[in-house]
Amino acid sequence: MTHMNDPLVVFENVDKSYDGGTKVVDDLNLTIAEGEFLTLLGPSGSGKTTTLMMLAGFEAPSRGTIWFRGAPLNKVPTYKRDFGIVFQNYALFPHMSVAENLAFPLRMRRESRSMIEERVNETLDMVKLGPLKDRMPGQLSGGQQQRVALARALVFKPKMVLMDEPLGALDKQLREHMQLEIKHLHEGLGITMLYVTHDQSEALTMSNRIAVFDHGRIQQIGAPREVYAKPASTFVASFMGENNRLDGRVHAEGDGHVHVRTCAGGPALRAMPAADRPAEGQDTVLMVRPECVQLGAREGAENSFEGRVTDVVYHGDHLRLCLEVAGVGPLVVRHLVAEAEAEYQPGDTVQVCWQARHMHAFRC
Amino acid sequence: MTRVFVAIFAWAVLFFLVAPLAVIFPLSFSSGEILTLPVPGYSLQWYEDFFLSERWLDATKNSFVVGFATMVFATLLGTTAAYGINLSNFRGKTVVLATLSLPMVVPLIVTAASMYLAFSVVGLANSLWGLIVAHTIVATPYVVITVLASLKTFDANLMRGALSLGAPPVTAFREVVLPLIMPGVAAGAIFAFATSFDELVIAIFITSPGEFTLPRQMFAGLREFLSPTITAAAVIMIVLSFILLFISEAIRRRGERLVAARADKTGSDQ
Amino acid sequence: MSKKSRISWLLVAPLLALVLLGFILPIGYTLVKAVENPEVTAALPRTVTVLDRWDGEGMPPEEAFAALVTDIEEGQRGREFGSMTRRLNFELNGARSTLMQTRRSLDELSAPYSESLPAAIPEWGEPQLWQLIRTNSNPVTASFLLRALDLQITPDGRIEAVPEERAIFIDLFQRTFWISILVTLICILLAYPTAYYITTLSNRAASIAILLVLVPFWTSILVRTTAWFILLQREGPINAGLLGLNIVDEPLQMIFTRFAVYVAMVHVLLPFQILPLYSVMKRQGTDMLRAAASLGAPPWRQFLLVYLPLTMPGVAAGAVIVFMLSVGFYVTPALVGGLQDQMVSYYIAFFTNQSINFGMVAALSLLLLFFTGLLIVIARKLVPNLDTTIKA
Repeated sequence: MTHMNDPLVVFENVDKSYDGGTKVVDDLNLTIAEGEFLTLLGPSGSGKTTTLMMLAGFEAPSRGTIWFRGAPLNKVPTYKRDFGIVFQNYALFPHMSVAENLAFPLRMRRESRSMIEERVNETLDMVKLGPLKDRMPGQLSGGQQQRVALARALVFKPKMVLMDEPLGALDKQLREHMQLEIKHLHEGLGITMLYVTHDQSEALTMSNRIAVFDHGRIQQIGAPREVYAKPASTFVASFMGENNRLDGRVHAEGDGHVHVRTCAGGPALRAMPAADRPAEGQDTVLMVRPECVQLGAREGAENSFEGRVTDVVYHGDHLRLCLEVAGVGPLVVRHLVAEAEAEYQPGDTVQVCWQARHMHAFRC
Repeated sequence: MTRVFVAIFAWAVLFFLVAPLAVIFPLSFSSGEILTLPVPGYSLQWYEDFFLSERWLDATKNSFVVGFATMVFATLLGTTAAYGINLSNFRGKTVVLATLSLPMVVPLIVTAASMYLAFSVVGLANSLWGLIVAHTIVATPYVVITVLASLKTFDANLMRGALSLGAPPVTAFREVVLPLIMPGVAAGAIFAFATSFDELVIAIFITSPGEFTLPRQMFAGLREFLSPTITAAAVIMIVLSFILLFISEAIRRRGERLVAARADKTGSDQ
Repeated sequence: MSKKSRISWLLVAPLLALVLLGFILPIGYTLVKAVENPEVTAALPRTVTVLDRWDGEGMPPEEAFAALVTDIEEGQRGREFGSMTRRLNFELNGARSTLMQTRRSLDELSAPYSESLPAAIPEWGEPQLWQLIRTNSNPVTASFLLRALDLQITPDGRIEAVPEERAIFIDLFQRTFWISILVTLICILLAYPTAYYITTLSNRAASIAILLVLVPFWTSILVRTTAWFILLQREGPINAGLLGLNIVDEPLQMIFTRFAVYVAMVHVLLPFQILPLYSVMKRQGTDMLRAAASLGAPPWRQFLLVYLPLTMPGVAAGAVIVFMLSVGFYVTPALVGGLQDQMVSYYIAFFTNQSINFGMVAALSLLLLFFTGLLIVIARKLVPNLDTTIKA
């Protein structure tokens, strides 16, 4: 009997190098828990896809061990691993109908005809593709192909599901719809899912945990809120969503905050030190998200300044105001239209403020 | 295990493909009369024989004349036709395409015999002109195919752009389209030359002894008695094929780089 | 018609005109000769007119004998006479010598010719020759096409098999297709693993391997055949090697055998099978195999259920090209094969250049075209997107 949160997969000191020199994956230690939805997030070339390929068995680790339920996986060929994989381009067999594609893994497992028939129909209904079972993949739309790929990876009740940028080829609306659908499938089936993407909003929407990759290493791993709200490094902060970045130097510490003067030489800013905290007298990078900067003066906001509007861009639901804040530097503010109290014009002077806990100070 | 077996098998097949050609080289430099290995000694006598014989030299000259003429006609006709085919979906396009590709499908022997019979009626048989016409017909489909392929990758907006910038159609074609489809045109031209230069079956039917081409002369030589001079001729033809292959590969690589560069650019635009 | 369509037509017109005049027209002109039958009427116009009224029973009237003598007398110097004798001899062995003899004996003949002619040349006393002239006054004949299928029309109009010693064409077509099928199969068997292996190589090694395929591909068929012609000779390098290694005691007869035809044809045609197969396999990539593996298929089932069906278009594309080319092969079997290894092409060339018989040239060409066309139609049915694969 396995329980949620039992370790299912463990990567132990795993390296991967194709040329013997550069490590695409560098000393990876990662545990995937039973039943969780873990997303590997990172820019291209960060090692996230290679990690998935190693788990799938398409690439062998150059060093280290991958464990599955306590047994080493390195020597097990792909076809015996029993993982459902959704490929970036779906990899549906073009010479087989939708139903035949789904029947394929069941045939490989020598299931009975009636069993295959039943499971194929059941799975197709689950992804709402029942009526298309006799179509060929070439006759389906991108979204339908995606569902078939998903169904094929689920139909044989695999031990876990691996997905490599499965929604990359879909348009925005369909992608968002499928994100929810995959999330619901995960919740409904309770199956462990490993998801690879470079799209941070996708990662935030779907995952239990996110592992942010860069240069073959995990930069931060944690729940979406944690990774977004408390980035461990400037890389994570800038990769996850937009940030205002200011350079400065720590000149004092107090009440859990650091006091930082920017290069512009104005009054001190109060910020939360990141895990890797900058010491007094050291250079630091400050980051604050545009949506955390508020217009007007608020009580309890440790940082409050006056700025001049240089540009206003209308985005429908929100405005983006570009400000020049004296003594601080340029700042972008994201302001909900519904909360706007005035029309803003370039040249206007406005009051801005933000809380110290929304501003993170990183060591350079 | 399977992997090793496949590798050995594949290299054996590749060896089978090139070894016979490689064997001709030492034989052509043999000092002996009998074509066997190992050669008794090396000499240039068979090349001397080739280059001092009027028959071989005439045949070589005829081959070049017919080859170049075929190349020019096939490239002109094939490029214009391909451009026309690519320009619009005119009525009867499929029939035209099928008709133009027939010379590739009909067995060469049928083409050759038919041309011989029909060309005799209008006095084209037994003349180099007849051979040029025949070779042009056989070679042009390849030009059409390569040019069509490079037109497919050609962005129609470039032509529209040139027109919008004030270039009349013919100028726009010359200044914008032609340079960009040049790899396809050049590849087609090379292939047309090679097709004509290597062609034998039609030459057997349409040339008369005074106007033999190089392959026709070799064929005659093989039929009469096996003089080692033929190996010298074969080596000359292999070397020429090699040069043509080299040129065509260089053109293809350049074309691929162009396409790749363009793909890179559109990729980074996204 | 839109302006663009007009320009299209204008640009395509020169090539289209050349192909129509220089290719379609000649082939049409030639194929018509498969059923054309002008020789007898041209050389014996009077005789034909008279025989037209004859019912074919018993002997023709005196009028016919007289007409024949006049026709031969008037036409004896023209080319028509020679063509006519060849034409009739094709239908009836010996007819040519009978007619030549008749021409030589003209001076000795006198009216009534129905008596003097059979007296001088007994064949004219039999109805057979007369019936033959009468049947062949018809401007259309099926006899060439029938003969290409080893059938003939008897003078009294029945269709029957030709005598066994002259029945060569069915055998010829069978041999042509059998050799072509075998060459195609061998090419597939050799090309498939080779093309696959090349796709597994690094870029650099693969381009070298492909170069090894392209070099023979670009070398003229004649040069490659010449290479085998030299290699396979009794005194050639292969026999020298075998003798030198004491594998054989006396030189093997390899040249002018069916074996030589197979080896040389496979060598010439193999690149046509490898190249399309390679391009299909290369486009295949590893995704499908990986998908199959992830779904639980062991390597041999990955190959059998996924890779093989997906690369089948490449096999078919190459096989169609190889088969079509080999059906029309002439140079290679003519040089390295014996008389028993020749294909239809050899006889087309033979009837064009040696035994001048354009009717047979046309009939054999027509049948060859018909069978090749049939093959393309079948291949298209079997492989739906064959054309695009071949072009790629």
